[in-house]
Amino acid sequence: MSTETRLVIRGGRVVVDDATKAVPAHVLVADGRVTGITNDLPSDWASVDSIDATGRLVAPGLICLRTHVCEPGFEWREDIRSASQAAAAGGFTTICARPDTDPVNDVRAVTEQIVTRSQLAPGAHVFPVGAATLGLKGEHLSEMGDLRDAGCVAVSTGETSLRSTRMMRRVFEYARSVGLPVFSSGEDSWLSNGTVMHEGQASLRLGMSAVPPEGEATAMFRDGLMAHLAETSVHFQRVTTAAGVRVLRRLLEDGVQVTAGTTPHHLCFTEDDVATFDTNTRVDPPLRSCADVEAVRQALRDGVITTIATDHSPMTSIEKLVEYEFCEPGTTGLESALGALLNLVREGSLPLNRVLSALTTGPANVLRRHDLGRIAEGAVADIIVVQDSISWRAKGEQMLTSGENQLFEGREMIGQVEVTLVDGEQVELTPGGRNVDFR
Amino acid sequence: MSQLKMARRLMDSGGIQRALDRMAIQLVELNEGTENLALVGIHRAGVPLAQRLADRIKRAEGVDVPIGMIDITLYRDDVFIGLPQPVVGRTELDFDVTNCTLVLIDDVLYTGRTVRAALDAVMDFGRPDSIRLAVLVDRGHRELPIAADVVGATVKTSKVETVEIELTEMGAAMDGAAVMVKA
Amino acid sequence: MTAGTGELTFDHLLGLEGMDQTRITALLDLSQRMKEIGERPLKKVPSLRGKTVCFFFVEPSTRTKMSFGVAAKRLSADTMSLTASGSSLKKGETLLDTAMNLQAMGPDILVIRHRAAGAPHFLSKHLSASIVNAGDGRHEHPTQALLDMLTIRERLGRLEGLNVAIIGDIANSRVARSNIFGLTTMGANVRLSGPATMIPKGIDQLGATVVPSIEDATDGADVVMMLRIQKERMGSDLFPSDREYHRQFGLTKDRLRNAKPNVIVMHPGPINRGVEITPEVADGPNSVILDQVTNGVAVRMAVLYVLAHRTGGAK
Repeated sequence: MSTETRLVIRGGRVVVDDATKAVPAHVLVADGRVTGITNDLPSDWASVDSIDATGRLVAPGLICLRTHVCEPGFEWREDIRSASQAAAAGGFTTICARPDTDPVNDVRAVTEQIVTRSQLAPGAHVFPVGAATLGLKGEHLSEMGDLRDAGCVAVSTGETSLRSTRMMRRVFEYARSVGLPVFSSGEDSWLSNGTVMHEGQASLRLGMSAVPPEGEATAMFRDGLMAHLAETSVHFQRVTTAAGVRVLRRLLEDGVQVTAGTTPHHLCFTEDDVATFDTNTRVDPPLRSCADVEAVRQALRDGVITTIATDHSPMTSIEKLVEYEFCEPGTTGLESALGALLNLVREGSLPLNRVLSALTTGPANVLRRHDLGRIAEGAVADIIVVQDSISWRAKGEQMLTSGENQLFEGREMIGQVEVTLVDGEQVELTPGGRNVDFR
Repeated sequence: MSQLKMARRLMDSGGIQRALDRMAIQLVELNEGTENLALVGIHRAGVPLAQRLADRIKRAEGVDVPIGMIDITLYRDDVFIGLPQPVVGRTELDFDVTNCTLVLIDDVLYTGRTVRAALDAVMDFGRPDSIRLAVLVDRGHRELPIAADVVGATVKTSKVETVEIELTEMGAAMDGAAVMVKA
Repeated sequence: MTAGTGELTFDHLLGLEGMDQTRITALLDLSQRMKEIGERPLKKVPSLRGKTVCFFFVEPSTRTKMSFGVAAKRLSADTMSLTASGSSLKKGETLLDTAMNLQAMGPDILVIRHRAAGAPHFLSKHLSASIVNAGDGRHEHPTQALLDMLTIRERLGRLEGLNVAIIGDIANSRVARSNIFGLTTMGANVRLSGPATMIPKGIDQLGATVVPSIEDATDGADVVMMLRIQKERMGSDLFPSDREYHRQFGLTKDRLRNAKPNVIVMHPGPINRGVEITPEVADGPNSVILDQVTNGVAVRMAVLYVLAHRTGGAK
């Protein structure tokens, strides 16, 4: 009993019950777990280390299902250390690392490297997501069982859906047998190949090759049917179009086990933001039309979309200082996601409980981890304390990510993360936190 | 641009008529007749003046002398020194300038820089036997070695003043010439 | 009659989208003046003496580049030129690096052609020279549309109310896009026709009308503008064959019959004879294809002149 590490978060508004309420309470933490939520501090807790959260929101640590940690292979952009620090700074206590590293995370050795390096990283948990097929090429199944044993929490089919429908079926079947969730990007690669923006009124003006929203819808429909055929579930990482939302609703009606997420930038920006050829607006999937944004917001309000992932993709500024059509897609997002989303809440565009659950319980459920993403007795003490009345402007240079591409630069943000607890311990934030300095 | 007010009147409508009458005669005398004579107005006020002089020569001599117009904007030496963007007017020289006595016509002769540019412009069209200069008003202050052959009126001005010529062809209610200063 | 450049203060010429009627008219008026210089015995004025114009062509082009070159020389500007083939762009240098190097040589105006849309806009944010877009990907080709409008205005006296048919690969054509922006701004009725694979969905949002057949497009047309079939830029999925294209969408004498009697036929060049247009029409009495080339020089002179003023004024 005496060796137990104990901590109490006093006086905050504690987000509980799938983010449906925030109740005034103290949160008791012992040995990295939540041991109680109470209004009356037990007498033996009176002198325990405490964090004063008076006037603050005490929320479960956020979970991002889709982060590019860039390690191994792209460490000049970001590495596991800086990504986990950036995550903690943005309120994320768990980030899931995309498999499209170099080498691709399709074998145990790569997974183990990521796990080892993340254990040394002073920040958020980094959960590897494995490649469902070797090299993400869609030709051979990866050793998913081995990947799971090494620490992968899910498998992904990559940036686009697999070209072969039969292979997609096999991925779902095999993943079911090893008990891993399957992440699909829901994008028809035949239609999207070579495109750089959404096909709509902006692409008409700018003359750039564009992908119609139907590319998302057709891939989602096919993958949904294949998951159903394989008697398992599928998680669509990024639903960004009204067409995609329609398919999603249809699949849910038909009883397909499907969950879906979107990104902060697809909730905040539209195709019209591409007009100045600002390469920070080059993201994948592309920024969509106003009607698409509204449909995605509605799906989130309705609980049809249940997760929001940052799709954090760091790059150096030099990589973005190129022609729009030659620019690789992506924006950083870990440190702007919560602020941008709370700003949408303030504007009245989204309800707070849906936003919070999409960042906590939603993704935890996709990962089938019921001890994450919630503040409840027995849950992992991944907790954040947020000063949720502060308004600020996003400034890339003040962020901990090494990525210099910030789509949200200059945008209004609401809420500052003051404390991030991972496994019950407060994360220390140190700027310039990459292991290897490439500059 | 700041407002200008009139300092003194130089010529009224009648004065301009008489000056042009005299100038037309002098031009023909200078050329010893109308043979090979051609009048070229410098954009803008020089253009109607050339027409008026040609009309007078026609009345007196019964001869249609060729008239043309040139715009010197593209030949100016002050284009890139931060002045407001100039207006480019039409250049029309429908006759062969080579071997003719070409008279450049402008309203006011001042620094001589416009005439310098006009000389360059005309030479790009051919090689006249000679080029003469006729101006309605010579106000002095030359910055280049240029002189007019025929002058309507010579006036003393200061550099802070401007000389304004109004012609009915250019929308004025009545012809007139005046020295203006900043109000 | 004077051509005002008073309304024309450009930092760059990146495209015709958003350029208003007054400015387009002023540019066309100025181009008309510039055209007169090309008809003189001595086709040169000293206006841009001491100014340097740099041609930076990252995509092959012969005629546009030559047209800009003639324009610059008629205004007495000095020119220098960098083309992509054999240049450092192939050695992995970025566009910006190359452009900064060019800038270090002190050009006042940089004329760029590039296969990526927005490349001129990108450079305009990073360089101090004035940028002229000489064609960026499938986005815009503003001087081409200006010369087309100059040609139409010269031949038919106006742009407003004219029926202009643009036929061919609208989706992949920067010429079409700039013309749609310019012509609709000037009050012309723009009709588009071509195989549906080449007509972008929703293009009518830009103010043009999509008509089903080439006959519908040429019906009562004052202007028929044929676009080049850009074989090099298309996948094989846009049309089955040259032969089929010609039969369905090629401009023949027969297809011109329902147009206005004084209809003019245009083409930005180079022509694929016997594909989008028959030689009979291309060389026929209604063709103004060579006038377009002449007017191209005039328009580019006007553009360079206006931009040189800006750089001069700024210094």
